[in-house]
Amino acid sequence: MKTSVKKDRRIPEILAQLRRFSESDFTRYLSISEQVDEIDAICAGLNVLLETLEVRGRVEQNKEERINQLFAVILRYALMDFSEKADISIAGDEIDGLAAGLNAIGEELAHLQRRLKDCEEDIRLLNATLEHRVNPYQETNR
Amino acid sequence: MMTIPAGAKTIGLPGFTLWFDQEGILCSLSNKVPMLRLEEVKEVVALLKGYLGEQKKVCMLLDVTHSSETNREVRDFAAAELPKITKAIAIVSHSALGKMLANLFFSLKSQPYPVRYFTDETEARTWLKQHL
Repeated sequence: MKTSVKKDRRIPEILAQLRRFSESDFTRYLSISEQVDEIDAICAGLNVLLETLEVRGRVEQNKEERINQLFAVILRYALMDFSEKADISIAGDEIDGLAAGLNAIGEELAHLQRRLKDCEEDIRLLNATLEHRVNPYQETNR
Repeated sequence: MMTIPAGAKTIGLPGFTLWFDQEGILCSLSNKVPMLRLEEVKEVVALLKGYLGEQKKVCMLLDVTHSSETNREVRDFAAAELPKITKAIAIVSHSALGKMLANLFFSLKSQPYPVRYFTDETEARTWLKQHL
């Protein structure tokens, strides 16, 4: 029995597939022979595992991209630039929760920034008016 | 997620479906829609007031699992309108986004009626009943 398994040409293919899995390479399916034996069952199982790992990899990559986008938005906010918003996906997961929170922070800060500018403009106008009123008296007192 | 009981008289509005349960609690189930603009939200509130008719204020059970993001002006508008029709709000969410959106709204916009967040719908209903 041991000898026949060792000679089976599918064993090296399975080992190669496991090596590819360890290198996150989920591109190649194993072929199923006409023997339909236990080794074929292992191949079929590995093919299912490949699909699962491939989907999981894509999800992970998507999460990484979304987190990178959050980082980019945070960097902009740190520079007081609130023009950009974080995208919210259809997943509705924790990353989307963070994105929604970040967007709200951006909106609130942009609002406060506008109010601050308005206040500064009001103060500048008040100062100008005050100077205009005070100047004639200063001229008289000289 | 909250389910609409068979035979319930529902009203579909952009963003959510409403119905009254047997206790007289106004239930709302959020739908996945793109972010609503202020004009759309104003229409929704007008329709909601029409639906409530002569009723003064109601207790609301909101399932915000699929609720959409809102912008500042919509939050301001909703914060001004909700106290006119609300006795108390219980919120349930099965998504992190829904939970965050609800928490954001009620943290940023302090409301004069009781609001509480639940993970369990039955507990939410029990809590709401004391405010009916």
